[in-house]
Amino acid sequence: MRNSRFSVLSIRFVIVLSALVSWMSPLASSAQPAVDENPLSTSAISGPYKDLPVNQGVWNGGQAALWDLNIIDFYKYFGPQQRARGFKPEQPIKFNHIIHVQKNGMECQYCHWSVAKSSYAAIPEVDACMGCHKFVLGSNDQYKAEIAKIAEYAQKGEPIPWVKVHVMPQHVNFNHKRHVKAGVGCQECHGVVPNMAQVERVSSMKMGWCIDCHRERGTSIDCYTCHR
Amino acid sequence: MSEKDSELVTIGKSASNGISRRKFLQILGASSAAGVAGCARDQAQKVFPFVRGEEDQIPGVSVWYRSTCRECSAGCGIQVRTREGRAVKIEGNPEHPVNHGGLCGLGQAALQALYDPDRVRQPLAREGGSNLEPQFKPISWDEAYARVAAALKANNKKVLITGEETGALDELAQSFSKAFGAEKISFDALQPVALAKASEQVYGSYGIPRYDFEKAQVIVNFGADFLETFVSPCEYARGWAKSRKSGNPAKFIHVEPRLSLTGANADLWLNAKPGSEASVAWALVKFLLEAGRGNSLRDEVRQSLSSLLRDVSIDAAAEESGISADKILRAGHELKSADASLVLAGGTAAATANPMSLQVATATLNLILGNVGKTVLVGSMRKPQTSLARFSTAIASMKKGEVGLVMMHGANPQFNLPAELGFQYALAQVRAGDPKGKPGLIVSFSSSLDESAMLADIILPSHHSLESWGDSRPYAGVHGLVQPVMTPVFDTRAFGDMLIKLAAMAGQSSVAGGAEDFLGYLKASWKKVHAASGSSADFQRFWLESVERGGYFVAEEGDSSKLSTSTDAYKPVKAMAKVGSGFGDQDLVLYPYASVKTFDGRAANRPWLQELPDPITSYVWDAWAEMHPATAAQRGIAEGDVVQVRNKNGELSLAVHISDYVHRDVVAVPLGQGHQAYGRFAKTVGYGNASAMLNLSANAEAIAYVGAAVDVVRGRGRSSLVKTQGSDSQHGREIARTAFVQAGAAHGEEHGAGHAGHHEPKQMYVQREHPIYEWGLAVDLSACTGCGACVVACYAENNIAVVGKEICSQGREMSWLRIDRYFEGPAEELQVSFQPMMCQHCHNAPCEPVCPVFATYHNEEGLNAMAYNRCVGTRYCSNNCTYKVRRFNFFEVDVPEPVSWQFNPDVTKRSMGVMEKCTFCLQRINEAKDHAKDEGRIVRDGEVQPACVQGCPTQALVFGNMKDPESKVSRWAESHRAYKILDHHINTQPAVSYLERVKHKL
Repeated sequence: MRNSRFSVLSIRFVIVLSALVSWMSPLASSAQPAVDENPLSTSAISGPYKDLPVNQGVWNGGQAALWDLNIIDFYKYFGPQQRARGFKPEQPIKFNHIIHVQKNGMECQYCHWSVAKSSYAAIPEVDACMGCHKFVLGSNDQYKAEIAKIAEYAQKGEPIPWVKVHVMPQHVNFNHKRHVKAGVGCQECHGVVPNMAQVERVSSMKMGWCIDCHRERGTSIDCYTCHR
Repeated sequence: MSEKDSELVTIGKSASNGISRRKFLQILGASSAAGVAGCARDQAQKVFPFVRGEEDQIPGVSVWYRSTCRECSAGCGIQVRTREGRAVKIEGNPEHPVNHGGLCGLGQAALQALYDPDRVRQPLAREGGSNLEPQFKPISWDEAYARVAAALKANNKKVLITGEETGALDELAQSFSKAFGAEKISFDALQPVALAKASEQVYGSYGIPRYDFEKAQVIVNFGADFLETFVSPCEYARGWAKSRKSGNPAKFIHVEPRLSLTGANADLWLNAKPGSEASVAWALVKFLLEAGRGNSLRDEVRQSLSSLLRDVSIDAAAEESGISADKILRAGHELKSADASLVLAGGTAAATANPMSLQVATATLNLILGNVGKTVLVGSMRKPQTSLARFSTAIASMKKGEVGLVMMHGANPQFNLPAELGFQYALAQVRAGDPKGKPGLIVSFSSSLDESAMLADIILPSHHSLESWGDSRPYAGVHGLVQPVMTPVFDTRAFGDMLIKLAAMAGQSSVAGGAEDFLGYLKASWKKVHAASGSSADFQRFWLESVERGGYFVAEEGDSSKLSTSTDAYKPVKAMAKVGSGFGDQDLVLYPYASVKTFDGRAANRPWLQELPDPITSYVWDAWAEMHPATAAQRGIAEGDVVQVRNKNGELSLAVHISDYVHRDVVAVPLGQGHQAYGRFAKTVGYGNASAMLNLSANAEAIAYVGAAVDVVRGRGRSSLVKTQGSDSQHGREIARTAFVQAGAAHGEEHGAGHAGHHEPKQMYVQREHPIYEWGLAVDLSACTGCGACVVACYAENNIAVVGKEICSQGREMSWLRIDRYFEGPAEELQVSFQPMMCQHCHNAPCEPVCPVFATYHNEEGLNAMAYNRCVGTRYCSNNCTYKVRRFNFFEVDVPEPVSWQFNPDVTKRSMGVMEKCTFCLQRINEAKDHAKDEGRIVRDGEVQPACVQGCPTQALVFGNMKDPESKVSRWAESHRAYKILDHHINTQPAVSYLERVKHKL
């Protein structure tokens, strides 16, 4: 027992050293984004997306606190990898936000339509994908293959088993609707999704990180606001 | 640990499948293969979108569907909350004229029948096994249909047994029976058929009248458990409670051989010898006639009555019943002087071998007291179709081998009928076939494998009522619609659809009048309702509006004045001549009683109801034999001894509960336990079926529940009955208070001048402030009947674990809300108090300062909050809680699929090692605040209703914002009857106020 304790401490020391650089960069770029009237609008971030780091505009760089280092999350001793910043799972279909949002100019809510109506931001129905992809069949072989997968799911009547990127413990009750109505933009938690070919988690979504923002904005920090 | 408990609980399991709240997120059908939150590290969680978007489905937003409860024949309106396509909660429909928003425990527990893990999942055919323990194998629907259709085509007698149905399904079953020459038999063990027949004899029209409990000033009741299972308990409880809540409650006298929940709510409870109620009722008739009531009767009726009653006297009745003559006279005087009163008879006490005598006497009492048209409404009656006589005839013909096809749906005759009737033998004869040796077919359309379905050759499982279309027309003016609230859980079919399909396959396609399915048939039937309604809207609109409302209701259709003014229909009956009980001097009489826990046995497969403490004895998960101390002492039996209760028809092996509140001649057992089939939850509770042991009386229209003589002998060993309440007494602490009307204007005088409601102790410390909301609850004890509907609602809403008998015996039941029951006084002057007890959300809570990790604290809205993820399980808070309302998760409860589908996705499923308790339904508060914020306002009064408040059939609870002086809860809390429990002793400042019970001292 004592030995393992010692090794954990020494690992922590190594982590702190090795992570110095990694945590400097998000802090440097954590300038507040230009606020648009519609917080859901993808135009809330100005400029060409491709020049932006994915955590541009994310609250506090996605960190719960100064000592909340990216690499800690990656080290499994401290938590599951799926709750770590940088979690970037392989999806059953290589859905690309860059094409849909940057190239085609689609708004977030076009697909995630329930975000302002419900606590959940809906993953679009398979039929919603097919609404366009009945006609849009892809410009190259790779795209064609991916789009064919959607058609297959739709034909079989099966849901697409997306891998959840933003996993919350079950005792957390996050309400998308209230945050959106309060003017919190999508990218403040989710990062510059328009610039993600493969969606990744850019914020720690730890309680300290939530509370930090709640304090800053003067909203409730009662436990019962999120835990019930 | 018994088999049952091991089904329920897995000790020490860290994370179990199927219980994650987040699992519900956008899941369509398939269950998540990935692990659940918590310890699962490397497994990625999946998120499944809908395949097809539905117009009314927003993930994370509840969709409510209105429907009608089909658990009993009362026909209460319900509204079902669904999330992501699954039904998660049933509540009463506030717009429904029968129940006005309340719903009993059985109705709420319908979800557990829907998600019963032991439901029949596909058509089954008997293949091998013994007669008693058959083996079934799955077959295809086509094969099942083909076999039944072939049997329908055969030219022989057929029998169709259904439950007590009204509306389109009944019409279809009639038409189906007619087309195939089948005998249609309705069977519901609890229908008071004798009451309906007495109405025919006395009022001139067959049926159960409607009762207006609100208008009655005096209620004299011979055993009718109208607050529990009698005809329409939610409707009656509401009317009764309205009268109780008003300043001038009805005087309520209850006569029966065993204290029921209804009797416990009476002002005067009289313990009568079983079967002697009729003599008391006739003595009252004579007394009232002599006292000058009943002048409206025609002379010849009066004369024939007085000649019939020549030998009747109050003294003789007193001697026969064992009730003192003073008390009977008291009842007579109360009835005499009341403008409007109500006399009722029903329940087990009235179900004797000769039930007509008592029923005619009570109907006569209502007639001579002028109640008909005031409190007894005979214009719109419920007309039960159940007839034991017809059933007996059909069984006799089955025994002769004349019947080639028996079809059963919605009834469990094998369990509910007396064994003497030989239903099982009759079915065996059907299977054996006619004299030529051609075997008959027994078909069950049951959705669960109950005792009757186990006897079938083929089971074609039907939908639960929450999965099918239908309607319910309990009495004139009420047309309740049943609509499916979710896609079927298993591969089942609607009973109506099956009848139509079978009829078509057997060459009688005209049965449904051209409708292709039952929905079409239902709509065709509703076209008649539309035409009769005189509605100017077209049918489609009328239909949609009715579906949305939960039915079509006309106020007060069926005027009762026409019948009440005429006494021509009143014919003295021969039954009157035979005054007195129907049995001789047997030693002990079996008294099986239906209760809110099991009804007639149909509710035995619902874990919520099994774990609900019995309202009188507070036992869970069990059946027992209640005996009077003198009777028990005579036989050398002590509390907890196992006894054999037996007669020639059967045997029960039960633990004894010694109680002062049963008659000496009676051994009372709860009806409906002791199943041998009907799923894993029902099977292991109780040993032996009391219904089977009953006597068979010749030509009886209904089952005689009283009258079976039994021997009681001490068996081996002792059994551990588990009760959740430690003490029956309040030990003088005035926890549940009662005030008596007799004390006059200064009522409440009897327990001293110090009303705790106005008790303002001097406070040393700065008091808490609640800027916007200060949530509070108020409970009117006058209206609380102790039925337990709130407890079931709480289980359903808050994902409370059902732990089983073993763990309850260790005091580890998990109910957040319990009903405390206290007995005061001797049996002759019994006063019973019921008190719902939940977290009091004290503003000065003893639990808060002792928490070492700040998991429980007081929040700005006056809630005693409990953050589960912070709790480390020291249990100091529970130790320090004055009210014993905190529950600790000693175990992780493993819930079988698909029971887990019922879980409320808005409430965290607590894990092992965490303290939990009532949150005032925080998720509902948050939902209401969410709506209010959208509209830029604060929550309105009445907008938040915790599950207990919503579900209460009598509206005994009120919830709201105490900061708003106009809110209902503030006004209740300001009432001169209001007090807070133990606040004046220990200054806990609870947020829950109780309004003391107001009763009469009779």
